Amino acid sequence: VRTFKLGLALVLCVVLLAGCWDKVEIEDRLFVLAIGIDKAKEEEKLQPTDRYIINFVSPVVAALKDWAGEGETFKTYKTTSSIFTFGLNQMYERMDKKLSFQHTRVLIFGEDLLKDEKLFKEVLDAVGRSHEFHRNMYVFAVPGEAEAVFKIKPKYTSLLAMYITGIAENNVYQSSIYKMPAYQMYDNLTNFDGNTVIPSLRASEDEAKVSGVGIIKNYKLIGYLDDKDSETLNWLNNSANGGLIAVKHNELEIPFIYNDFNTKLVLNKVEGDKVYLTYNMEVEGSAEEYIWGESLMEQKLLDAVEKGLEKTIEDRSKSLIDKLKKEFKVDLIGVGPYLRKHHSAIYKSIEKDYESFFTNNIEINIKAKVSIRRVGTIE
Amino acid sequence: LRRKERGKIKLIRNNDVISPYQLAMIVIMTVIGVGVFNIVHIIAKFGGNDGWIIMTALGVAHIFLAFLMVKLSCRFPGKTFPEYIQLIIGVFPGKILVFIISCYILVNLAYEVREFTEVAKMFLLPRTPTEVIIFALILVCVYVVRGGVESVARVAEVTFPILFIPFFLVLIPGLPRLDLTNLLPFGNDIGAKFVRMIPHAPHAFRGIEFILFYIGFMERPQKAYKPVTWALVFITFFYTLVSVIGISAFGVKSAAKTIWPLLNYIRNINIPGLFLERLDGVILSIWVITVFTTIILGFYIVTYSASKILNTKEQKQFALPLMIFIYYLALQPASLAELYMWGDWIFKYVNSIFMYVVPIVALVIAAIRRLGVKKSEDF
Repeated sequence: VRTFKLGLALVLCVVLLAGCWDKVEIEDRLFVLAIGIDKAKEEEKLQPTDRYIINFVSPVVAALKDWAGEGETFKTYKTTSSIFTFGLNQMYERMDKKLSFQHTRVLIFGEDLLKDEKLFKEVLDAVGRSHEFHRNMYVFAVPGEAEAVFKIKPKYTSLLAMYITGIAENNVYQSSIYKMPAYQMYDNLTNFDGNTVIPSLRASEDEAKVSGVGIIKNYKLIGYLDDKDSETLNWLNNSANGGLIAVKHNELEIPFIYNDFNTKLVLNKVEGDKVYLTYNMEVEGSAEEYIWGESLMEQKLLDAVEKGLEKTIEDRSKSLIDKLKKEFKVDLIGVGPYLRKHHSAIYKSIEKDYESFFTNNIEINIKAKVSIRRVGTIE
Repeated sequence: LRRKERGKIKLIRNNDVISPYQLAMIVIMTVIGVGVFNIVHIIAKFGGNDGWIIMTALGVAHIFLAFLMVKLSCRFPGKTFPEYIQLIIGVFPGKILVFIISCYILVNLAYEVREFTEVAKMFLLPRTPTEVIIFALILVCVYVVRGGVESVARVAEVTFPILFIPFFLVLIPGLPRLDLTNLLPFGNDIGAKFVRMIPHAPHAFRGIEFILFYIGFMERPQKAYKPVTWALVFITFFYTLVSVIGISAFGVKSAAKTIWPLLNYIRNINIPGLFLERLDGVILSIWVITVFTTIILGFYIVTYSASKILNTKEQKQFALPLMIFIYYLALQPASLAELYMWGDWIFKYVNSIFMYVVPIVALVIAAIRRLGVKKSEDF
């Protein structure tokens, strides 16, 4: 009996410890680092039902090890399909690896897709619902086709996806770059009924450029803001981390580098059916460019420059708010959420027709306070 | 002589005795079960942004409810629920009631097993057959349950730090990203939200009725007040913490839209530079422990009740045959949607009967019939 038991245990070990159903070796995985989705044009359709063009990029792991600025380190793939997920699954007919979305970093939408509400919603659902995608990727909108981005050969970075995420993360130094991770886009779309911004990415032969944002209203792209306005949008949303504002003073343009930009929204008063709000902005930074021979170490001069900067900030903010109120009729500057959170009684009465309330009944004032703390290393 | 005997018991721990500390661990490990990830969804959906306040209030209410259960147990020191219910309402009706309770616990366990399987299959083991996951899980539980109440209590004691230390550690990296203003406004419509939330209280706190069984194994039931209180304070704190995190990380609407918001929160954690991302795999494998302990603690009650119904000395022999019922029941729901629909119905109506009505009615009858010890010696 004892030998039998021992034998049984050994046999069971062989059977049960042999491995599991879900084993995929790392060499067999193809890591998808960036995905671009376009609406298929008539002439691109392989089948009449095709609706999407999907491009994605994967690293060539072997070439990455000793990359010296040359050689192909990533490959792009293209597939056409009627359903988003199907398009990715179709790839199995053409490759011997398993696609892995564990490390997907970038999600890029083409302009036509964003203008088509139904297709955009389908893709949003596919990416949001799938258990494989995580929501840490950065989202971009491409004026034109997303495919163009996948033809870029970046100059210094070995991987295209890392190149693009690197640009997005540069928003710490340049606030005109709007950073939009997928989780934030999803939360914005759910919490604010389909309104959000998606930074726009433009592609040339060996460069990509993040410049401005695309405005999504009710799950539809309705226009773009340029990079100046996207910086202003960062100011208003209190998401600016650093950047540069230039101001004219005595026929000279003085660049002001800020690394601290705090915005606070407060309600001033409610009069009749109008609501008066103020954005209080506090900015700190340094001015490190003037003209040789002149001194910046004078408080009076700095005060004047600060005044100029404050006016610039206020003017730019006001013009952006005007644009949002009159041209796009969409609240992207957090007025609605602010009222809902801090003045819920007011918000309740206007909730139903918020759009017209935002365009007609909200008066916004900007109050900026700029402090130039440092002037560089010479007088 | 008596003193000597008592000393002996303390030196050589009897196989059927559990300590107050173990009781606390038992309560925590039963109540916090498979629903950890799902609970934020329910809180956000029914309680809105005040869900965490309501959760705290419900926690306090359940502490008082648990006091009633301890009080009931204190009337019959050294006896468990299946034993004293036969004194309270008569032998035969008591046996029938215990039988029904066992069936209901079996259904609850089957729910736990199935929900675990569905989540594990989605994120971890997509190709492993459902049957294999379920079978492997319950078989281990059967082994522990055969060891009797002490091994069951020890498992709860040992797994507590293994589960919660990593769990809290994993929650930390995402904290700076929280937007606590999402919790505002406080207390808006809290009455309506409270009413909507109450039917879902059993979902969060199911399992506290198990103390009716486990207190009977304590040397002195009067000592149960403290550990039960601390356990419920911990549980309430835990639920409040995860709901604050879930709601402030995603916003109410977005948290209510996601089935497992907490899991998404963990998936979104990304610390650049440390290459610390995709922590969901870690947390899911730790999460197996909560499911495992909940099943063990419930399943022991079922086998123990079976032994009391059939008047046998041991409960071991029932573990294996009763396992088949869990296995069978767990395979019944067609999908996650059906599982959640059933679960919702069972927790709302069936669980509330056994959690609230049965212990209170039993206490009232015992008081009217003046059964058991009337006054506890110490508090």
